[in-house]
Amino acid sequence: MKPRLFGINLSKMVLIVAAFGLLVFLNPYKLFSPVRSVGLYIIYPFQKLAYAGSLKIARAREFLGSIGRLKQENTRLTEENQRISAENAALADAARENDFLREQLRLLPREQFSLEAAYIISRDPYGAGNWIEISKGDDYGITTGMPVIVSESVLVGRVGEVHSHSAQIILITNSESLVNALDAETGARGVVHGEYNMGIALDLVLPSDTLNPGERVITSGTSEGVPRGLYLGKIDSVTMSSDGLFRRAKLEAPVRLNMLQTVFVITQSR
Amino acid sequence: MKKFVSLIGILGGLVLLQESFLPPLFAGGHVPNIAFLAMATSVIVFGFSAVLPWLVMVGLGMDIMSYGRIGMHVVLLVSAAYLISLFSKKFSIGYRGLGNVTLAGMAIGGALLNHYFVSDLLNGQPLATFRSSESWMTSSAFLELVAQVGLFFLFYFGFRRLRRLYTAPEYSVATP
Repeated sequence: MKPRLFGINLSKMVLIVAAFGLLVFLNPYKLFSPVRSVGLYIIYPFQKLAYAGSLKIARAREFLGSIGRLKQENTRLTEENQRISAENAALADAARENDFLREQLRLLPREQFSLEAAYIISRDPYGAGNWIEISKGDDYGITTGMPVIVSESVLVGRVGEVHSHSAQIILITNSESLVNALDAETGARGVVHGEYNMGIALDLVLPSDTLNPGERVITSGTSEGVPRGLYLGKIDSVTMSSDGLFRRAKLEAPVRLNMLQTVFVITQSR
Repeated sequence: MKKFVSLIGILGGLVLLQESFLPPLFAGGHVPNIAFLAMATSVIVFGFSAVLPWLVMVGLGMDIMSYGRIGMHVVLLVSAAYLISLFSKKFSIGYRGLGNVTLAGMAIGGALLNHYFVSDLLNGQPLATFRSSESWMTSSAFLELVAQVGLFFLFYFGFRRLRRLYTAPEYSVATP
């Protein structure tokens, strides 16, 4: 019997790979966007439940793992408490100074934003710092490019693809994320970008400008839709770029992106 | 119909586990590729043709939920499953004693390759994960590997049991 050149399985595989490969190549976004919207709408309640459940397990696991450190931590906190009590007297003065600095840096307090709170319902399984998905979309006035913050005006990302009940948030640790930023202490300007979806760095700073470890980096307000004064992180270390043309600094992120449960989308700056 | 709905539920659950449940539990993006492993082991146990519709459904589910291009996961799952099916036949005949270990190695290797290759491909940064060697020296990377091994054997023996349950036993009559 003459052997067949193509088996049935191979033919099926080639046919499917060719058909879907063509879809990947052509990428008819407008055709598939409603399909994705419907799919995400159906799966949304399950996603929310699964993500919240998983986060609870992760936190419980973290708590159990930390029991051994609790006693040591307790002693440290007692000492810290005493120190804080002593410092408490100076707080009133610090608050006045804070108001002055905020005015100087034009840091935007949260009262000046219109915020939309949203739950995180899923995240990129291939890279923790790549993107997350939130429980609100264009039904709540969320549009592409809007900045997303947590706690005290800490920028965590910007809105990417938007559907009726959900939206994708491109995190600042995403390698494709770019935000214009400045050193709050020295005023040195540069661009903050993600590094391998794991960390963030301030780049393209002129060599004549000064960057020091420990200084805070905030948004400069020159990126479209991103207000000035959103906190990005603290400078960890400073190096020169490989071509020697710019300074660059590795930033210490103020929040753990993998443990977030709620974020706020800045829908409007008042 | 009931069987079809159950199947959709199981496959949907698999995608949900991969996209929403597992990522917060595994740090640094080292998430076990549960969807790929389930599909790879089902190909080994049930055969490529039987599993092909599942592969397309899971791939589409992953494409919808991962905000990637529609078709990307289907192409990768189907082509990887075909290769696994092809080699699993050869290995199970050639290396009977080491059959399970060889199959596990293939499925887990495929899952890891798929995970990191797809990740970088979808992000438009070929081999970016491999450049950040730090991420490979962490306990979370080890945890991912352990989870992959555990999941493979869970699926493998689970599916084999399922196949036995749904297949009528063959009786032979001894002739004098």
